Amino acid sequence: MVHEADPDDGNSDVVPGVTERVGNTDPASLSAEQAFQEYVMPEIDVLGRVALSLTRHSADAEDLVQDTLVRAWKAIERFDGRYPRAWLLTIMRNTNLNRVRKRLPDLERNPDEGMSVLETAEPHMSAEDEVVDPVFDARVVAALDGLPDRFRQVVEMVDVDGLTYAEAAEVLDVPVGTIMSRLHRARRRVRDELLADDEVGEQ
Amino acid sequence: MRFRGFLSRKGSELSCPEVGRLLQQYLDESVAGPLALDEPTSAKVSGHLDDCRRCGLEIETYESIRSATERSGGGLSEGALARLKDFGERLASDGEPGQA
Repeated sequence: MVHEADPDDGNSDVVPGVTERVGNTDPASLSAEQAFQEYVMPEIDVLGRVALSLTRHSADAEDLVQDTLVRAWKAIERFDGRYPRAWLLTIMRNTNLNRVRKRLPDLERNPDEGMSVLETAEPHMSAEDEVVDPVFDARVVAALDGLPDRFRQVVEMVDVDGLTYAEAAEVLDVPVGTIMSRLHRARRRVRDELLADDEVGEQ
Repeated sequence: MRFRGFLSRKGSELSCPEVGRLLQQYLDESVAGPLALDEPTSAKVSGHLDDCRRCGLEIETYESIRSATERSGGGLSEGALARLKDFGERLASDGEPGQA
């Protein structure tokens, strides 16, 4: 496969700590369609979650994933098969930047921007939900929702979407250390808010 | 209840404020990559958490917050994911990448 200098295709940066694909397939032996099936299709769920963290709107997130898939398909023959998730997240980051730039003039057009996560989130059931306190959960969600976007996004990407620090750093295009400090500050703020609520409740 | 880490810092033990600063990195072991705590430090934090009720409660709080956060994320709907997977399939089966 030939590597061309393309700032958009994300092939240039490989980050330590990014999940490497487990598999033995030699990327050079795959057709474009096989490579797309092998590297891109399994990541659609993760791309969907990250897109939702970035855009906060399901319709925008779906559009963002679709645009990301188109760009990934165009660049698939230049992809070396290493770190597919990081590669796709970089494409998504660049795609999202272009989208944001395009719509800057009408940023205010969404009247329901403030719709709470409680209304939009789908139930995510697990075995431990039976012992979960829904009031505690709602307070955590409310506290997260009140965080500035740059903090909230990091928490969602790591604690909800399951990205590593390095993968979140790829999407947001900031150093890994920044991811860690934002994440820790965000969680501390949520914790402080919950404790402050408790103190008010006890008075 | 033992606050031994807080009161006396013997040998290689960590104090409560030190553990407090490392707590979230300790919690993020699986996602931190190169920023994860090294093994000896992680073992010291773990030992301190076993002994110190105050720090034990602190990490429980962070674990509860993280679990609540995890539960809050539903991702895209099944319908949206199905549409995207279908879109991906059609993209890959129709024509050459350069023409997409």
